[in-house]
Amino acid sequence: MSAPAGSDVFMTDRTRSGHETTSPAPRVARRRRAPLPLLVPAALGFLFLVAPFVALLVRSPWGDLGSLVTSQGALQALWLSLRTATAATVVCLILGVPLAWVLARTSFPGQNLVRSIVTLPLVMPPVVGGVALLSLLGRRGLLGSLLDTAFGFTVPFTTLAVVIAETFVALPFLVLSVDGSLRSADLRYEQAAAVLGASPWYVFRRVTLPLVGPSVAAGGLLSFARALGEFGATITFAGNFPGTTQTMPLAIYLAMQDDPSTALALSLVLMAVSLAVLIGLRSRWVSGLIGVAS
Amino acid sequence: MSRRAPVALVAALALVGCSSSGANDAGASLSASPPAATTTPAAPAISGDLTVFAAASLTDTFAEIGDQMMAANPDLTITFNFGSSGTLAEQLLADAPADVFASASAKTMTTAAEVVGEPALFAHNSLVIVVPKGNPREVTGLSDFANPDLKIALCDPSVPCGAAAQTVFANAGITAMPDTLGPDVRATATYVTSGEVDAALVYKTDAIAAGSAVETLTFPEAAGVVNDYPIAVVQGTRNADAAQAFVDHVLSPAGQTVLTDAGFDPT
Amino acid sequence: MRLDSHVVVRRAAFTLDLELTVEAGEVVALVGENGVGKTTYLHAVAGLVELDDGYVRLGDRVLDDATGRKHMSVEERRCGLVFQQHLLFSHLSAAENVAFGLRARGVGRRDARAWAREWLERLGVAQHADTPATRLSGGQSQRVALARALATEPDVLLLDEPFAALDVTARPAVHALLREHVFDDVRPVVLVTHDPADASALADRVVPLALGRPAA
Repeated sequence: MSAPAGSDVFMTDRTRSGHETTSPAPRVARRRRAPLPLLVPAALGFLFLVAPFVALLVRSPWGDLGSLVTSQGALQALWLSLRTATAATVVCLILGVPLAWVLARTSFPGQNLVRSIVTLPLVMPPVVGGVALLSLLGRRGLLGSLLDTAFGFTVPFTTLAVVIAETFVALPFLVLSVDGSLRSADLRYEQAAAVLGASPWYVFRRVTLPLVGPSVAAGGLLSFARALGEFGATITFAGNFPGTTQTMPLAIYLAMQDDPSTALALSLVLMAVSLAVLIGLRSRWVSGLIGVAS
Repeated sequence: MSRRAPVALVAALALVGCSSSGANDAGASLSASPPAATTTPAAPAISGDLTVFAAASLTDTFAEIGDQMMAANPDLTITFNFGSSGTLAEQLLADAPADVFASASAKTMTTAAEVVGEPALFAHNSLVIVVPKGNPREVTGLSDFANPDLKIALCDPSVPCGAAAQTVFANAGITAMPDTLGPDVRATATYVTSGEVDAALVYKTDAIAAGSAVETLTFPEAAGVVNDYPIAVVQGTRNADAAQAFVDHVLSPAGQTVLTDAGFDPT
Repeated sequence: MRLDSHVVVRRAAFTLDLELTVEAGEVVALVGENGVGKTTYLHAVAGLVELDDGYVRLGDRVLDDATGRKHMSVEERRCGLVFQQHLLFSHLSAAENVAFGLRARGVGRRDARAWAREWLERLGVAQHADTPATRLSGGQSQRVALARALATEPDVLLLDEPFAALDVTARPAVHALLREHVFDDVRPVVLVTHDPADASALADRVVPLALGRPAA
């Protein structure tokens, strides 16, 4: 008879859906010593990632750092970068979460093609993205020419163009992250909510979003980081002008042409800001959300 | 030097990935050839690999000069690395494997001074106004660059063509109102080609290279501001004969013809 | 209220073909081993599984009619389904879980909360109202899941293996709880269990099920 089998199913489910808040077993297991064939490549991999940054730190113009970093140009570029990356992240969330939902929760012909197209900006050189955006929104672009004749408004060389370029390259990160999480999420919670009388929109807001909250946060974080570092699409589509379109990566690239110590100093600032964002959000916001949702 | 090294190092790493096409046998470069006999481009004794770092504005002309040399010297393989002069100078300072350096400004050559030999001027370049074909906004001269209603592109002041543009405007007493500052002269010209801006200041050579998509206007204020192009053999070269031969060929009548055909002013 | 159904669902392993009518206030137990289609039947009535053939009527409402191609959406059906695994929303407290269905139907926060407390009270778990769903024991979460289903005053109650999570000693208490507070004389109840003892203790009628069809 199947009484034990029934409780087994139940226990498995409890564990999966996180009803067990603290179980000591996994923690002990996690402290296991890594076998050498894993440990050595892991250490090499980490070194490979961190060594260039350490070198950057070592060779940085520490003496002049204060004045270089607080120069008006540097602050202007940093402030613009933070503003545009934040705006791009917000747009990514507004467009990307619904897009991920449609990809994960509905089925329609050509869905896999759509999924591939969504990730295209991820694998293409960003400069190509910039050219593509110009083809659409440039003054002679498909849409841009209409905007120009109708409103006398052109998108390139504006801060809006920076946000568009950053959103273009950052959106796939959010969609991928949320799509994956939605597809692996337990559908039965959404079913339970629907049975209780919740409309699909209410289910999305009150059950689905909390369920995938951590991955939305992680996706938003990745999008922000990607937007912050965006260079190719920005310089191609939005151009380069201090205060309007010159973000930190552009300022760094141009400083490298004739003033390498400023370029180094700006790189340090961008690195510090990115790291602070990654560490800060990881430790507080994301882990907080994970704590709530599990 | 030491402070600049990391940036240059990163750039050099990127470079290694791009310019590893010289697949000649290493032994060839060691084969002794009489140094004195290499002053004329036609001399057949030049061989081995030669790597030339040259400013982006030299892309077409140097490729042609290189073809001439390789045609005359079948055992010679020339690899080019075209880029912004400043970037190239940083790469040289980080011991990037180059034999010849041709820069678009005296300033960047000075940056690389400690790793190159005595530079020689081989060309000048002057600024022109380029507008999209048909000149839709009827740009007539430098004063139009102060019109905020026009979309204007200049080179960023950190690159030679931008520095030259700054000097032009300062001399003319005009406050330019650019919408964007191109990271290099080719990018700046592209904004005109694609019709995104109404006018830009670029080198004459780039205006010619942009072809029929743009129209060129010369302006009197350009006369006083020319950009000098110096060339030098890199001190650490492993193929000094070929390097010197390349420099000599650039300075020879044949090389100079290629350059002037492209719009450079001769030395 | 009366549940009148003929549910046909074709699956790879079996075809569920069950004609079942449950009168107002009647408790019917579907009994059978795992994998014979008991849960599929409940999900079909709740609208989570589409019918390949047949119909589901609840009172004078048609929830499903395969011939007329009618399929009422899940949220409109007014079915109370208690899942075997309870499926409490882990980001909400016990009371918020119970209030969920009411809030989803537009009931104000305060009213929904008061109503939720009342149901938690009736099911004996009022003291856990503010406990996060993740901190409830198996028995507590079952009561909260029952309260959550009942708080929306569904037209039919569908219970999927309500005793699977409980050890044997806890069963008499749950039996009593169901009889006293959950079963009434209006609402039809379908109870799914693999344990004939539970079925005969609670149900007015037992329908044995074997591989998708009523057992002989």
